[in-house]
Amino acid sequence: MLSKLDQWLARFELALAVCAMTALVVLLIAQVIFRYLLQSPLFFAEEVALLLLVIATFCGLSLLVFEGKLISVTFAALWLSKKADRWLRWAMQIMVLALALSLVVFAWRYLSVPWVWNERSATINLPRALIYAAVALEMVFLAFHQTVRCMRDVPWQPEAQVTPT
Amino acid sequence: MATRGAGDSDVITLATFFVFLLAGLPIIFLLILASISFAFERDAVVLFETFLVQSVKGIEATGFLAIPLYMLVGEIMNRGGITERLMRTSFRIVGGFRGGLAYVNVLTNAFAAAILGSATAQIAIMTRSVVPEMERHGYDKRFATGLTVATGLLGPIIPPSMLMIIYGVLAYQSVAALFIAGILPGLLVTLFFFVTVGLSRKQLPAVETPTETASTGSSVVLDALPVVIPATIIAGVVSGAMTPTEAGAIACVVALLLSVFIYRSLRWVDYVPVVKNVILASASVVALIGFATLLGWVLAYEGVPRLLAEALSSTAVGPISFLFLVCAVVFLLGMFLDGIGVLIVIVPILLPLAQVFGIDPIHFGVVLAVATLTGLVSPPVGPGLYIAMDATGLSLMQVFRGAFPFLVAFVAALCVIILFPDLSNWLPDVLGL
Repeated sequence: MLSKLDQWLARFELALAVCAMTALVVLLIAQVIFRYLLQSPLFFAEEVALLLLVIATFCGLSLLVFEGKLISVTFAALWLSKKADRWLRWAMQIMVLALALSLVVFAWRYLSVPWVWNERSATINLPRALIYAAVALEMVFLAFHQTVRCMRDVPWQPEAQVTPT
Repeated sequence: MATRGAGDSDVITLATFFVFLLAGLPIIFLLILASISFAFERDAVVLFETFLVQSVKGIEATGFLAIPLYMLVGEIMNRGGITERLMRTSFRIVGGFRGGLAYVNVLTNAFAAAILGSATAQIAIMTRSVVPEMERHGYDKRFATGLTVATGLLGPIIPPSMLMIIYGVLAYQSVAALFIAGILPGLLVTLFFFVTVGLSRKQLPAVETPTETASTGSSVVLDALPVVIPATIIAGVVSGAMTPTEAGAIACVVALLLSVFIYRSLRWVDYVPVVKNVILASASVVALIGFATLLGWVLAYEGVPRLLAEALSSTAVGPISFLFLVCAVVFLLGMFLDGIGVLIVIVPILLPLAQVFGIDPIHFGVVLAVATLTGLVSPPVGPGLYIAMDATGLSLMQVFRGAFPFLVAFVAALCVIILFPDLSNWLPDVLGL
């Protein structure tokens, strides 16, 4: 059940990130056309493109966690026994979960302050806190993926049941 | 109750950092942990609440929009078999010499650098394609892998370059000038690699299996056509007609036209996998920028940059010794931290000092970008070594030993770049950038 939800969430994030990345590229190409050929630059292009970059980045970060593709140093694996290495990797997964949850808590506290919702973006007049809330939500998704990974990769289960990272 | 001093807290943060680094905590989360640990130890928990905000602000710079665009260009061209095409083009140029494939490797990487822009991407692609080809022709696997890892370092020097984009944004310098400034140093490093291949005669096979290369007029043109992409980017930014971000957007269109209409290598079904690869690669880099910015912000809040700047300024006596000292610091940091992270943490600290020493910011950027790359192939972190290990099945030390002579050549080229600033400054000056 959790695994299915995990995969469904990852598919949703991928769709969102692909849309954001496509829109970003199209917008920047359109900006070149409007600026140089039509002599009428899109005043909102850069701000919207940055917003799309932020969305694609944090969706991508969550997908990196889902796929176990975060860059890390695997130096310890060269020296440890297979069993010890499994325990260590699991401990690091718990650590990632704890750090992701910490960021969510920090963001929640920040967003609970009413005045932070007054700041608005320059061209599209979007509350900046909405962007931070979207990023915080992505961190919640990331934490969910990591929770599922931690539950799936428990080191006391037989090796065969552990999904390779 | 006794309170811990600043020195104690620094030691605790450093120890935490190294323990978790070696234990395998992902680099991005390592930066978050270091930020939390440092703020906590310094009783600056008030910073916690704005951590996510600072990370997002760290990536909200227009210049960073170029990163996914150049990655998309590389991904589209990679789908079209760019490596094979560039290898065939290189073979036609330098394939006739003894050790031809080793020279082909260097030249192919120099060409690919002008399209891919990222050392890790380049090492990942090249170790899977060029190393098996060299092995098949009688080259020692360690030598072939080491050479490929080292030549992958050309990616971030020859334009377009991710590191130059990041430095340009951080240092408020023209990315166009930085792109152009990287051309001569990139060619110099290529030359040093050629010389090192020439000196490694014992590693070259006495007789090389001939490689079949069709040389009809149309195949020569088709194989060399990817060079249009860097030409478009350079022409666009040098003429001032486009910003590097816009040039990246146009390069995407050119790459799409080449792949869809000329090479016919890209279909609609490839779209999502291509974009997904770009999203994952871009997220790795951009999120790293965000969280490295967070660490830099926490360090700045606590006045660490000032202390480091004071220590460096009291040690260095002139611009050259300052640059060598900076390279040593970058090399040490690069052994444990990703190159982008190193750049983000140290540029705000060292750039003002470099200017006090009269060092041109463009030259400083080129030196930093080249110096940062040494960390990519230095144990224990060196991501380039791990990528090559993964692709070839060699051990960390086997890859490092194979790469060592070329790393010496790389460091020698870096010394020449430091000693002759005109290598970085001449072209941008001539072109009025």
